Amino acid sequence: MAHAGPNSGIYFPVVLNGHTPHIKKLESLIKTQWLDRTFITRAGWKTEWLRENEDTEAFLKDLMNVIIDRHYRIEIYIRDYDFLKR
Amino acid sequence: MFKLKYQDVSRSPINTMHNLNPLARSSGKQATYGDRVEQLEDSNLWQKSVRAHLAAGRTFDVNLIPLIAKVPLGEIIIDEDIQRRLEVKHCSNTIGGAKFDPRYLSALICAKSPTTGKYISIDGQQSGSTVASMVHAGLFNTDDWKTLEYPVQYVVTDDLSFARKAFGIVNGKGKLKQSKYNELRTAVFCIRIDGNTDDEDDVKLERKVSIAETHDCFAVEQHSGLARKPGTFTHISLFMALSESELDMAFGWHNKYFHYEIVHNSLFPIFRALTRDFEAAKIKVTDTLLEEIAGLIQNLFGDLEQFQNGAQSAVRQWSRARYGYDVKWSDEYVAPVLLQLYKKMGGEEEIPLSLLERFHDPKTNTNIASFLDQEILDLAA
Repeated sequence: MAHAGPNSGIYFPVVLNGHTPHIKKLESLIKTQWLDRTFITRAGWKTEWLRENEDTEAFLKDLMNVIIDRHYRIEIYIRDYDFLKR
Repeated sequence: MFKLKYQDVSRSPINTMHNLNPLARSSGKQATYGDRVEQLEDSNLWQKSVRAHLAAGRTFDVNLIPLIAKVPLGEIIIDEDIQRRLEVKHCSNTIGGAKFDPRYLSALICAKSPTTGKYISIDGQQSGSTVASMVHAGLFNTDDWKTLEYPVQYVVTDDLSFARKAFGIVNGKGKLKQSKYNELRTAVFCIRIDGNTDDEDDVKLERKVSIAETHDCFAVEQHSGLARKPGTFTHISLFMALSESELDMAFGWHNKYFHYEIVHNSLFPIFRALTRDFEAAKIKVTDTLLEEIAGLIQNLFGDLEQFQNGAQSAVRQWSRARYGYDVKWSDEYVAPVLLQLYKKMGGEEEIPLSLLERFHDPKTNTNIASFLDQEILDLAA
């Protein structure tokens, strides 16, 4: 799961882990059906960033709802990962 | 014993596509050229092109815009070095059956020589030849095709290299082609908005679209915002190639098991095989098989898109192992890989051998499904 870094003002501290095709499916869902909730930056490295009006807690809640509802074998691996310190 | 059970996914109580379906009704929108000018001026790409012309000091003469005239067909010359040969079959088909209507004819495109005054046909000879021959055959209410004044769009030039380039532009090079979706929309609107059922092909297409809509599936234009909504599909050519009963089964399956997903293009070749190969082998496609396939897709891949990604990778590995090089991917691989995997996972429903043995290597007793990612295959162990 891509995170939002220092430029966006939003920090996404969660790492998800699970069955690879299900992880890819979730990524694909964010990039297509949830496109309106993210934007892509091409400067630096290309990744998805949450839009400014998005809230990380609400976004994570929606992600977890999708994972449970669609029976994806994905779980939260790290809840407080600091991408800036890796 | 097949263990990959399909588990229900909650269905959204509101399907916005019922109101947004672009094929359900005319948009009712009209635009002026003023609207279009504003639209282009808003585009960076357009502004970049304009700036390049201005920087080079290039402006254009309105007198060079093509002119319109009515010219007797007998006075128009066809330059055979520019135009294609006469397509007898095309002309015969054009007037074949009850479809021909003179209002569908288009103007000829010509170069008019400023020195001789003669019109040289750049495009439209099939139409011109058809009309002249129809007059000759007594199919029009006039006697002499040579004096029939036919609409011509022309430019004044002796430069035949210009005419050659113009022929290329008129016939596709540099011209924006009509998308398959636009073809579909035209056919559907002829039926739904205009109530015109004269064209049997239009009627058949509209029926196919109706079948999709019955199952909450909707044809939309590629790259439109609607193409991200569950139940929408953009692969119109694949859709058009399936029969009504094949589409009924395919969309019914999608709506029952994957109503929360966009319709993936691999749905069409899978159900083409599930109907045609099964029918040839006189094997019934059972409800159990359809549900177990849905369970397999859901449990192992999440959706058909991820399944196809896995299948493409497996085809690559299989072809390298068998032939030493990569074979080109095509949708003919989708159904065999899916059904071979189904058997590998313990599926007990009957599958035609023509699908199970396709792309099978008897020497190593492997098929493409044997080359799926190990993470998938481990679940079959």
